[in-house]
Amino acid sequence: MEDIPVMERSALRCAARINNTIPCPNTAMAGSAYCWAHRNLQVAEADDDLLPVDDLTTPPPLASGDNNDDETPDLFVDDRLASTEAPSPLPEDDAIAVNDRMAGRVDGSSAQSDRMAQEFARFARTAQLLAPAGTPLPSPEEMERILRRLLGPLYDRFSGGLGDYLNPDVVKGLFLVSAYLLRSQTASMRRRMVGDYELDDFGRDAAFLGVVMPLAQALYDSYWRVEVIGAQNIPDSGRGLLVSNHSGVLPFDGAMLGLAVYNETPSNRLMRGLVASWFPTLPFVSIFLQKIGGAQASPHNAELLLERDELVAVFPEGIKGVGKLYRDRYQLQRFGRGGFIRVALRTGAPIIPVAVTGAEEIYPMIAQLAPLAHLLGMPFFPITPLFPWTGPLGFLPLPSKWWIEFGEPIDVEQYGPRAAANPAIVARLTEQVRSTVQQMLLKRLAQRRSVFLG
Amino acid sequence: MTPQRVIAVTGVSGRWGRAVAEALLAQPALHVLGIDARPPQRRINGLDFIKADIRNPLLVDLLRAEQVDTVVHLAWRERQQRREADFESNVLGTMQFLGACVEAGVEQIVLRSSTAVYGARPENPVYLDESFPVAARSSYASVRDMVEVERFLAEFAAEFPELRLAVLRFANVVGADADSPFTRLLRLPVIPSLLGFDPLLQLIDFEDAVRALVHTVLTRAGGVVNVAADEVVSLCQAAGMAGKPVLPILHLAVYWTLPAAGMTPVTRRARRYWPLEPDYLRYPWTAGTERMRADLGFEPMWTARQALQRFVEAQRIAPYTASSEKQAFADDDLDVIIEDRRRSQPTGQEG
Repeated sequence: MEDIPVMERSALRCAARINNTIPCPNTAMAGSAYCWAHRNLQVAEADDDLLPVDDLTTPPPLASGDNNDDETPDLFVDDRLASTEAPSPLPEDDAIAVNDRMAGRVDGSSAQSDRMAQEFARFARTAQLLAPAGTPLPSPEEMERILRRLLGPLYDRFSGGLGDYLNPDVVKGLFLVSAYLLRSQTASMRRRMVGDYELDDFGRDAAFLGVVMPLAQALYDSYWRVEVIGAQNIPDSGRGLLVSNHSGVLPFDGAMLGLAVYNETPSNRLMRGLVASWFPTLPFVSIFLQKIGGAQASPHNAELLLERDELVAVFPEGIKGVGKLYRDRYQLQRFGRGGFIRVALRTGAPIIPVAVTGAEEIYPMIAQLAPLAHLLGMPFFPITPLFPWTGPLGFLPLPSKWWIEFGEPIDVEQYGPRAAANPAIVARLTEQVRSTVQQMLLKRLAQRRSVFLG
Repeated sequence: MTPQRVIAVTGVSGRWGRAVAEALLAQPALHVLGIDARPPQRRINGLDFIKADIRNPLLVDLLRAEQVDTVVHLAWRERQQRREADFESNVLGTMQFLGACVEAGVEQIVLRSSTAVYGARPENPVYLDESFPVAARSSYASVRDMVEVERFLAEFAAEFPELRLAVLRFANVVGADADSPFTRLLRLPVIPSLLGFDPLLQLIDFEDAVRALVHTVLTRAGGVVNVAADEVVSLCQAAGMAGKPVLPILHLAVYWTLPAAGMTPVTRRARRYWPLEPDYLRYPWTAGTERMRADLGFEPMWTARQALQRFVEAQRIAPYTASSEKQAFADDDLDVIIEDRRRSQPTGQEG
């Protein structure tokens, strides 16, 4: 914040009037008819070329603007009224605020004090009504007098602002609204406390989703700025198997994929992600994945979900995908044993290849410590620029720019369910899907200029 | 008079045996033979009680002489800590007893097991069906014995295909009269859990479980069947419904200290607070119930949450009903005496 320029005191008083009545006691700024606090009036009057010559030495009046309010120099300490009234704390483009101020000026103090007197009287009457019987309460007139003495000066200053809040109806309304909010919030919390909520058989928790979704949406929109390509390839209804690449140590890509499906389908479809068996062994991650609709990646679960006509996402790279080093990024690992193809063949679900670009960079894994991983029972122990040395900061994913691309659905129904038993067909289809995803990734990477800016 | 079907219930003095025997006695045209090493604490109306250990070699003669048609084997000692006597009774006793049943020409054997025998592991699918291997590696004696018996049963069933061998694998049993690892967990003042884990649990009401056993006897069904109620509850949800606080503990700490705690008699008591092994509070072990509906034709009356609610309500009123229950017991006794006298009269209906 820039300093208030040192000004020479001129003999002139400021020409402004506070509340259109009291003359401003401040001395005017050099070359101006107004003091620092009322400099805006100067601008309003000086329409075009009336700026004084020595104005060049002082800062442009508007540039330093309202943000100097807090640091009112001692010059104005003696007059608090002036310093708080004149530089409006409200933004200039706020039409209502401007109107209020204008109205205040035009009506003058008499209308304002009338209004104040009315409201105080009303307040006093209501207090009489609301007070429990037998309470020693001053008479309405006495009370009005007390109120006027206590709040009168304040009312003057915040007329239109605080004045509205002295209105008993407003207070009553505010009380009712806040009581309602409090009650509904505590009721929902209480329901959680006493276990009164439903989980589906995979443990998905609709209420939990409702709480987490806005947070995830913020990550989706603002942090990773996810861009979806080929949204028309997501089936809005009926079974489907999304086959995606996997990266980034923790399965954020799965969560974002689920959110992309939710955002881009007209029916706000909820996807089911199949999670590698390492994640259920991690505290909190296990609960989180279970509650947002994850299921253990096993052919049994996948078939059951597809039979129910759900949209299922698989990450055939599994742990090898999330645990690959930074130098191997975007190089697809082996697609498991083609189990997902067998499931698709058996259930006749179309395969939609998905390429997630950007998730590789959220936790750049420089190296991994196999012995420590073995000791802790983890498949790998990641070393990133921030983990583990910076403690909780190490869990912060980097804000890379993401793209999620949905490819053309691959129809496998023509092969029939018996093809699932044929390793040759399974291997061929696996390779087809894998190369499709790899091509989509490479195409996107060729167009990407920056990891963080896109 | 039509020949009565004779059913033998072992472990009739235990909770399970008693409930099943009472439910069977309510059915018409069944003669129920109760076998246990100790007499039941309360007399069971109309039960033909025989005091015998299941390892008694003379049971063959008894079963043959009584022309027992179906055996419901419910004698089971449930303990966390491994004891030689329990192992002998549970595993060796069951083996010997089943051999005796075959020798005596019993047609159907019904046993109870638990879905815990599948083991809780991260790679479990949401629905473990009956074809999944019995793969639990537990340090808890009861589960270990059950796994061993189940493995024996698989061989046994293959060896005697003409025998109808029904094994009902129950999910966590809840009920006012039930005593399962899960009810022991819920009866603790503070429920221990693993930090950051909230497993899905399947439940079955104790009454439903008893009904399933009776249903199996009446339909003369065989085969391995998972029995669990609809819906799942998570551990935190169950604790919330029971109104108990949850104490989350870092899983590594539990895994490291719990085996060590079992080594000395003093710290062994700490295991009381983990009636379910940590793995079962961490990984899924929910079982598929397709066969229960399709093959067994059984439908539980209560869903998991209803069953839990029933249990919780029974727990809440328990302190207020202790004295009235005693009175009820006394009335029961008189009931039994009247019934017995009626039966013993030579001009009874059985005439």
